[in-house]
Amino acid sequence: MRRVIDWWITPIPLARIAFLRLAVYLFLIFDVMRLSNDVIPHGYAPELYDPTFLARFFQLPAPTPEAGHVLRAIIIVGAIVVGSGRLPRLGGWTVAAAFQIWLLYSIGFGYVYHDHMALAIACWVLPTVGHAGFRDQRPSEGAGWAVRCIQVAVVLTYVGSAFMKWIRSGSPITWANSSVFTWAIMRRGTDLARWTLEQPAVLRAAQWVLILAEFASPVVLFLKGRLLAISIVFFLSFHLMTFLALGIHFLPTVICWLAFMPLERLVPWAERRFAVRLRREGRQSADPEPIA
Amino acid sequence: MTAGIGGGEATDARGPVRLSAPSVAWRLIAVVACLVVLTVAQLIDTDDYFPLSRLSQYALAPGRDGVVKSTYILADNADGDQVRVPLNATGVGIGRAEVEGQLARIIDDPSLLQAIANAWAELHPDQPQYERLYLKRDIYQLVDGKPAGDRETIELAVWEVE
Repeated sequence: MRRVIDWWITPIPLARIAFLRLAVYLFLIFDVMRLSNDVIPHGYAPELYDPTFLARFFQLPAPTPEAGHVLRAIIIVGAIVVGSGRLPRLGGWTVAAAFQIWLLYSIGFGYVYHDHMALAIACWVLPTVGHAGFRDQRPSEGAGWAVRCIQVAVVLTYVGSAFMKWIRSGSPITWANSSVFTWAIMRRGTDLARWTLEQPAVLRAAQWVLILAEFASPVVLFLKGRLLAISIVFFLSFHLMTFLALGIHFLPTVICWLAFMPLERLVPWAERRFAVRLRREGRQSADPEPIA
Repeated sequence: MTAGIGGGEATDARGPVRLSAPSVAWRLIAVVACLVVLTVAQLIDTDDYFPLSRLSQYALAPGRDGVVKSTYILADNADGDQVRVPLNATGVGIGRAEVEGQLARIIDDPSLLQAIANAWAELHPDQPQYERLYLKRDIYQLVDGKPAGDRETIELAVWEVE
């Protein structure tokens, strides 16, 4: 039990939180402008509002275009403030709540996408850490918990997806041998992908690779160094392929893969690079900048 | 990125910033609660607990000799043309997957299609407006995993825009 608890709060340098915040909150701006950008137009079709549990529980009325504009403004201003390291708690909770409502309005019209699970979790856990500087190398259990939550949410996006395939089709083998990729490409395949319709064996092989990778994904929680890097590249390549073939990008999950990367090393790395360059150019002062 | 570079040499000597016991406790309780909700959502196959909902995208398994269905909406517009209604965020704001997600509701009550026409009017006031909407479905047959033969089209609902 102690080991499980320690695993959930493995200390991580606060600098990783600072970089994660920068990336996640900048991404939110892109998200509300380009990805979950149906909230304001949804306001013009309130008859089709079909709220999910949280929206009903908090009695959120059907969205209006005005409410959409206000939410988007709160998210964008909040994201700039918090992403740059200010008001990490108050601002962070405000953005989390506004983005949650925004997403409820985006998915509350009959279709729930599942690429936003890790991002929504990230918005809720990042404010728990409080202040974190880009050069703050102090390991923190609170930072460790937030990072772990995002990592687990990313992995569960794949594992849960594999289990749903199992539940829906009766067995993972049935799913892997089915024509689901043919179905997907016929419905929304790009020109790059349509040739595969004549090669169903290739598509079935890809289905096997996908479901095996999804079931195996929890392994990445325990990998380090090169193996972790290879795993990240594998999953990001998968998302690149589905984007090229089907136009499905999964960017909100992709951005959360950053939680697996040693972002806290960016500042020391950049400083070393900078120091080396200065030395080469012969303008190095006697004492190099200490790394905070 | 920076993999392979030995970071951490500048770590502060003060040691890790610890959490108090209550702080650890609520964090773990939150984790367990979320995991329970997410697991239940998978088992009972529901989207209702978003963001902890079923992860069912592409979970279906059409057989090699199954069918592929695709839903869409056509419109007769004020210019007398028949056009495909852009079911996306920048078109009418309602996506194809959303129409498919509420298909039974719309077929039961085609007047819901009025919302699509209203959204088009509000979002694109300068464009020719819709006068009649046709909710349709194309069905393609698969034979041994490949599309075969012509598509079959059925009309699911029609709505005269008010």
